[in-house]
This record gives sequence, C-alpha cells and structure tokens, in this order.
Amino acid sequence: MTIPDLVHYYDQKLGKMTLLKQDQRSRVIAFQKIPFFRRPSLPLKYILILPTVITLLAVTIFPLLFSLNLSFHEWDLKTPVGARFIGLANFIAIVNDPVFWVSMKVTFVFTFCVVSLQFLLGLGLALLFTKEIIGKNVWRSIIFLPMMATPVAVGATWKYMFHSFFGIINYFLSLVNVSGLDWLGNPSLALFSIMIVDTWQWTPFMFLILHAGLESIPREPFEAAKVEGASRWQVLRYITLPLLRHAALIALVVRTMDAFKVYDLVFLLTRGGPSYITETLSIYTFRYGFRFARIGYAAALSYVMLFIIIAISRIYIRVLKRAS
Amino acid sequence: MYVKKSGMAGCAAVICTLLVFGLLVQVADAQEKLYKGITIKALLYAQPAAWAVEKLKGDWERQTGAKVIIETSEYGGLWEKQLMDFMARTGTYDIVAFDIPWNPIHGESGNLLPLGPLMERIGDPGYDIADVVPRVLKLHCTWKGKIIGLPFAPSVNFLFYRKDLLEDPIEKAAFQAKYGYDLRVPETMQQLWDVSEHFTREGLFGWADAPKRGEHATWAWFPFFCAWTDESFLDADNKVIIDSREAVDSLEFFVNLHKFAPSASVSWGHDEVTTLIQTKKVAVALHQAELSSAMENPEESEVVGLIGYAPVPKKKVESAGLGGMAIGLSAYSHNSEAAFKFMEWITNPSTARRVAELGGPPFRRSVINDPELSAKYPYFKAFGAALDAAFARPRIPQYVELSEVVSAAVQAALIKEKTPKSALEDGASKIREMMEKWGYPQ
Amino acid sequence: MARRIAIMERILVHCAVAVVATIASFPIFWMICTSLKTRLETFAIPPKWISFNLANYKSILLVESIATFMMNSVVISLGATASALIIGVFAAYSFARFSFRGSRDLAFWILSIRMFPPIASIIPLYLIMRFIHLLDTQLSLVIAYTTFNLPFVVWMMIGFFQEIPEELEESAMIDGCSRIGAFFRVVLPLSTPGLIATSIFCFIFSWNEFIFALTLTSYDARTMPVVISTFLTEHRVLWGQLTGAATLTVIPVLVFGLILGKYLVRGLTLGAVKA
Repeated sequence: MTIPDLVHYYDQKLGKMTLLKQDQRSRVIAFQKIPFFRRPSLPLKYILILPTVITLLAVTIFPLLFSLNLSFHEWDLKTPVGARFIGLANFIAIVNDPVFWVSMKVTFVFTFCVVSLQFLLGLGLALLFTKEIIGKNVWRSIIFLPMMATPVAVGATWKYMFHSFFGIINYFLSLVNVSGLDWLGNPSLALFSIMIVDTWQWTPFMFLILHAGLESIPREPFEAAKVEGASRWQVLRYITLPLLRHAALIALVVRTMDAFKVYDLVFLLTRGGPSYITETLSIYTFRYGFRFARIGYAAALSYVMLFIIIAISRIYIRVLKRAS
Repeated sequence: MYVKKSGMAGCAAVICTLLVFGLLVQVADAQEKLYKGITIKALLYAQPAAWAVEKLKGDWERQTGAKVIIETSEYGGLWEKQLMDFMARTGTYDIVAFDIPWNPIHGESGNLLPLGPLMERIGDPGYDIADVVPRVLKLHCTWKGKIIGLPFAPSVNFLFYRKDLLEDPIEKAAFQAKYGYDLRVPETMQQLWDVSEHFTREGLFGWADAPKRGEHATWAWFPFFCAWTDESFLDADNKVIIDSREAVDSLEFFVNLHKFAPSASVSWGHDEVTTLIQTKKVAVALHQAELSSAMENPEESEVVGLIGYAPVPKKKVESAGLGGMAIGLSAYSHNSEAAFKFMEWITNPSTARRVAELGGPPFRRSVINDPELSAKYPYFKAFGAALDAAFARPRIPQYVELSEVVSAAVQAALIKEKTPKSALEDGASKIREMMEKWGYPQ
Repeated sequence: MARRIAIMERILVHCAVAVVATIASFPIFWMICTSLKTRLETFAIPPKWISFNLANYKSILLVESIATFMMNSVVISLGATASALIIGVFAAYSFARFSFRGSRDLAFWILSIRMFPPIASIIPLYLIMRFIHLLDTQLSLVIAYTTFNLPFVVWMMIGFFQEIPEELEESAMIDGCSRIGAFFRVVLPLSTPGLIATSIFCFIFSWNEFIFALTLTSYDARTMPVVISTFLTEHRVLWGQLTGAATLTVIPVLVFGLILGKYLVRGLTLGAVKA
C-alpha cells in the first residue's frame, strides 16, 4: 500500500476522497474491507443512482426527444405526406385554437375543484380517524377500496349508475321525489358528475396520505396544548396543520398531476361532451394524437401540458417553502 | 353392341370421374400443405360478425392447415392499433376491419393491398362479387377504382318503430282525430314529426337517437341532412354545404324533434337507445340496423316481434347513413396470400350466410333475400332497401377532423348553446378554412 | 354530562365512518351485483338487488382465454413492481444519504418523468418496442411501466431512508460491513414497511394501467383492463360481461388491499409523509 493511498480516505458519507486524519487511522481497517472496485474513482453515490438514471433515460429520453422533434413537425398519419418541419407553427396553432383555451379552462376548473374537494374530504376523514373507532383497520381498508379499483371498470360502472332511467342514483333520488336528472347530458351537471366519480375514486388517496401523516406526528405537542387549554380549532390550526405540511404537499402534488391528466374517466363518461363542456386537455390531445392521427400537433400539445404541470408543482413547492 | 358400348362409356366415365376426383383431392391436399404452419392474425371490431367468425374459423383451419387468430377491439382501439401498425409497417395484423371514413386514409396511404390482382390470380370462381350490394362495394370497399377491401359487416342507421303501437286501433283512431290522416309508418318528415308527437306521453318517448359527442352526433344528424339535401356534407366539387338553407332546416328539424326524445340522450351512444327500445320506452327511434338482432332476443328484450324497420322518411329523398366494417388486407402482411384466401372464405356466399345466421349483418343479395333468414331476422328486407338508399360520409382522408367540427355544431344546437343556423355557420367557416389548408379550394 | 357528550360524539363518529365506507364500497358492490344479472334484470325499475346468474361469467370464461390474460396481468404487475423497486431503492438511498451538485435537480427530473402525459411517449415507445421485437410481450409492458413506477419508488423511498438514523449504518460499518452491506443488512430490513407500501402502490398502478396496455399489446400479452374494454364497444355495452370481467379484475387488488391496507398506513407513517 502506497503512502498516498493511506492518507486519502474514501468517505462514503461525503461521497468523495478525503484526507485521512491522524486519529482516524483505525478506520483504515473498514476502508480495506471495501471491495477493490468500490474504492473507485466514480463514487458510490453515483453508482447507486446510475441504474435508475440509465433506465429512465432509456425509456424516456428517446420518447421525449422524439416527441420534442415531432412537435416541430406537421405529421398527419391520415395522409401519405409524411413529416414536414414547420418550426413553431404547431405551438402557434395551439394558442390560436379556441378549443384549446376552452379545454384549458375546463381542465383548470376540474383540477382545482377535485383537488380541493378531495383534500378537504380527505383531511376531514383523516381527522375523524384520529378518534377511537371500533374496527378501525377494517373501516380503513374499506375506504381505501376505490383507489385500488381499475378506473376502466369503475368508470363504466358509474356510467351505468348515472343512467337517467335505469341508474341506481336516480332511483335513490326518486325515493325522495327528485326526478330524472341527466347526470351526463345536462350541460350544467356533466362536469360535476365527472368530479363526483374522480372524488369518489381519489379521496381515499388523500385520506391515506394525510392519515399516515397524522399518525406520524408526535404526541407531545398535543398533550402540551391540552395542558395549555387550547381549543380544538387552535390545536388544528397551530399544531396539526403545520405538522401535516409535508404529507399535504405530497398528496396535493400527486393528485394535481394526475387530475390534470385525467383521461379514462372523461373518455368513458362523456367524451368531452355535451358540446365542449367536459373537454379536458388530455381528451383534446388524444383526439388529435389518435383519432386525427396528427401526431406532430399532439406532441406539441403534450409538451404544453408538461410545462403547465411542472410549473404548477414548482409553485406548490415554493408556496410551501414560504409558509414554513 | 349398343349395350356394350354404353357399358364401356359408363366405365370410361367412372374412371374419368375417379381420376378427376383424385386430382381434386390432390389439389386439396396440396392446398392444405400450402398454408400449413402459417398463422394469420385478424384485427376485427368487437361485434356479432366477428364473434361468428371466431366460431366458424375452425372449418377453414381444418381445410387449409393454417391457424387464425381473431383479435377483437372496441372502436377507438381498432383505429389506434391499425394506425400504429401501419405507421411502423409492423405487419402484426394480416387482416384489419375498417370503417368507411378510414377507407380514403388507407386508400391514399397504400396501407391496404389492392385485391384485384390476387382475385385474378387465386380468386375463388364461386365468390360471385356481383352478389354483393353494389353501394357497399363501391363506397366502402373501393378507393379510386381499386378494390381495397371485402364487405364484412355493413351497417345503416334507419328507423326502428313499434309495430304494435302503430297498428293499435285505439291509437289509430286517436291519431286520425288529431291529425286528420291515417296512422302509418312515417314516409315523410312531417309524418315522422306527427307520429313522434302523438306517442310522447308519460312513460313513453316519441323519438330517440344517440347524438353523443364525437362521431355519434354527426352520424345521428347525417341521414336528416341527406334527406334534405340529397348530398353528403360536401358537394361534388368538395365544397362545404353544411350551412346551406336546406342543411339549416334539417338541423332545425332534428333539434326540434328532440322535444320528443329523452333530454339525457344528448350524452347517449347506441347502447342506451337499444335499451330504451328493448324496455318499451320509445315509439320510433333512429338506430343501427345490425343491432336489431338484439331486439329479437327474448333474453334481453321485451319487444320480440314488435319492432318494424324503415328508411329515414323522405324530404327531398329517402336516406340512411352507410357505415359498419369492411375487411382489408394489410400491405405489410407476410402471408398475404393465405390471408386473402381467408378473407375470401369468410365473405363467400355460403360462409356469409352462416355469419348472418349467427347475427352478423348481411351484405349479399342472396343472404338478404334468403327466406329462412329473413324470417329469423325481420330487419333484412328494410336493411336491403336502406343499403340501396344509403349515403356515405364525405370520402376524404381528413373526414374525421371535419366530422369533429360538425359534431360540436350539432351538440351546441342540441343543448341550445347556439341556434342551428349560427352553429352551422360557425362550423362551416371553420371547415372551409381547414379544407383550404388540405388543398380543397372552396 | 361531559360523558354523555363524549358518548354521543363516539356514536356520531361511527355513523360518519359507516356512511363514508358505504359510499366508498357501493359502486363496487353494485358492479358485482350487476355481473350476476341478466340483461333484462340490469334494466329493471325498481332495481333488482340480488340475483344469482352465472351466465355472464360462463360466457367470459368460455369465449375469451381469460386465464391467460389474468396471468398476464399478474406477471406484468409483479414484474413491473419488482424491477422498479430493485432499481429504484438504490437511487433513493443515494439521494437520501449523499448530496452532490445537481442532486436536487436530478431528483426533480426523475419526478417530472412521472408527470409526462402518456400520449407523448406512446408512439415513440411503440417504435422502440417494435425495433427490439418486444411488441405484444409481457416484457414490453414491464419496461413501459417503469416510466411511472420508477420515479414513484425513488420519491417514496427517499423519505423512508431519511428516517433511518445514520448511526445504525455507521456502527454496522465499524463492525466490518461495507456501505452496501450495511444498506442490505440494516437499512433495507428497517424500511420493510415502506417497501411494502411502495410496492402496493406500484402493483396497483401497473394492474390498472390501460393506455400502454392497449397500444403495446395485441393478444398474447393482453391485460385485464384491455379485456374489460372489449365489452364496452360503440355499439353494444355488454353490461353483464363487462361488470363480470371488471369484477374478476378488481377482486384480486381489493383482496390484496384489504389484507395489506394496514401496511399501507404503517409504511407511509414511518417515512414518506413525515415532515
């Protein structure tokens, strides 16, 4: 072993070679046990990340670049013309298409409503579950069911339940003398109906994350508050919610991302109709990408969507940082 | 002597017959060897005709030694799968089912093999293509003079009406008193209106159709448009005519007719209409011909034997929309010969009859006029007539995009977001712009 | 008095929970009911609640090779979950323990991949799969599903690993373990609840995925959600068979969820959601 080897010590914690201090000589033993190839010029921290990065690059970088390239081309698979470079024309066409703005509005309204509704319901449920409940685990598992059910399956079932004549929902309503609502056909109800299904399916997810968050909060602050004689509202406002911040962020970011991309449900229930009342961005994008086979335009649209989603999640993180 | 001669002739005839027979057996054997080990994959729309083929394919597999895989898909998946397959030239599917609007797309792009040469070279002499309803062959299976598909499961939308209601003496009397003429199967639009109005009451609708967002809305309005204008959405020079006065009138009529239809139907597809008819909740409906077999099935229907069928009533002309599926041979197929023989087999006169017997729609005159089958499926007669009167949607590759605009206009009028006139004018100006861009000067 | 209020409150809490549980499970219950009805019963008013007719299941089991498709779903979901976990935990560990220049950006990049709308990656993925001759194989979906599972694993597991005190690893290393050895012997066993929670999620995501499954498979590797969709065509909705296939698809994950539900909470409590 040469002198330089001895004085340089590979510090895994810092992930780089450091000078070995005099009093750390004893740890050289540990160092020697690291297999030879691990004493490497390429530190462990990178080696560990490498498989993930390589995999993701392999399965996404080509698609991403391919789509990016496509987004600058006009390529209509319906015609034999093939791809044609048109620069930013797709993006210009997108912002000039009134339907795009309609779908933006629908998507934002939808995302905002379902995410906030699900958050409030999920939070309420999670707070409810801090109480003593007989058979808690069983109830909890039942409430988790919707988020595990296959969207295609439950979407179709909901469509059947929404049926204005044979649907079970209108049957229940008829028992209390409310007659025949057109859940999916009425322009002022259609989007709301989709929100109901989305909320049914994904509130359990919010609940799960927030519930787990509440469970992980230490008991001490609550006991201290009790001693101080704080009201329930004060406990919620000044102790529970701030401590729940991290869990809330995760739940909100994941749900916002997914609600923004909502496709299966809208496709099964209304296909964007009546008129453009429930036209979400992904329905609009899919229509161009697949039904119209305008894959260049659709690629540009999906980039627009990606930018919006990333912007929103950046905002979330920033808001949260400021709050803390 | 005479007897002897004839005996010899007889012997000769027997020997000749045996020889010919032996030869035939050998030919059949050779054919069997020809397709042994070959696997053919067909992508079909999930519908009764495809399920019938699934049941029957075994016969052909035994005859030829080939293996056939039938993959069924719903409509959107059917299009996406063939789109991807053709784009990548994978050749996963040897045979694909295609809707009428996809005919120009595949025709222009050369995704489907023209069948003429194959028919000439190895075609079955008993195929009898003249037996196929000419409009189906011309509009669905032909592009620019070349046959690129074989008919398989054509469809029209036309009227389904309740025979028992229209023939009921009490109804007849009441109708006569109110409208001053006899209640009968509507032959004009005015009569359709009166009949629908007459039967609209508690628990019964006078009219129903399925104009949900997408192709459905276009498709529901289409026969009305044709009845008023005697044209498709484009005229002979590919000029947009959906905002002509007749077109606006037809949409106005169509929208007003919905007074007698369930208001929820604006989000309906065909299945909701099927259910409505099956549960005796509607008197007259615009519906898909091939779904009439569901009306005659006692396991799911309360109206067995009670439904009559007729073309969409006359304004300028009688009409119906032509749709459904034809099957084409992928240009990227690795087994085009065997695949062609299979396509030919499932659409030849005898198999076509067996498919029809199992619930597939007929497309051959011999099947449509088959007395036994028409007794089993009462819609055959009206179906045959409607196929002859049917209009095809505009035959340009970009039709789907055009249809999307039309569908939005129809829906906007149906939910009273716009008047029929302004909806169509907005739609027409948008389509004109698009048509200019696609190279059809307006 | 105070006790009576407390009792009242307990009753109210239980009622509320029962109502929520009913709403949550009703559509699934209704789906199962519908799968046991004939078509006429499906459209009866007032609704027929309980019926027991196995014809729908018979026709599903007879016509479609449902066993193969079910097996596909199982193999693909397990494969996708396992591969995402195996690859992802190392990266998560690295992000949790070390920091280097750009590590936060790299982590955000990984998460942002999960945000990418699937429409943009379907066509290129299809082309890749065709190029490497994987179309319509189980492997193609396992690979495709890493695009959303792997980022999820990394992000979930970072939280779990951060919760485990570093001293435990250090003492293991002083006892002669290598860093990797310490990771396998100390860190991973301690984060088992987290691994279970994460794998449940990955499994559910993969099991339920529809769009990739529809485009990348044709027959041999078809999964259950695609099978369901074939009963939902433009012309006919075969409610009985549709809900039958849906029931067959949903039941395994539900059983899985009912059994492992508590691990889900326990797993998340220990890691990902902690401040």
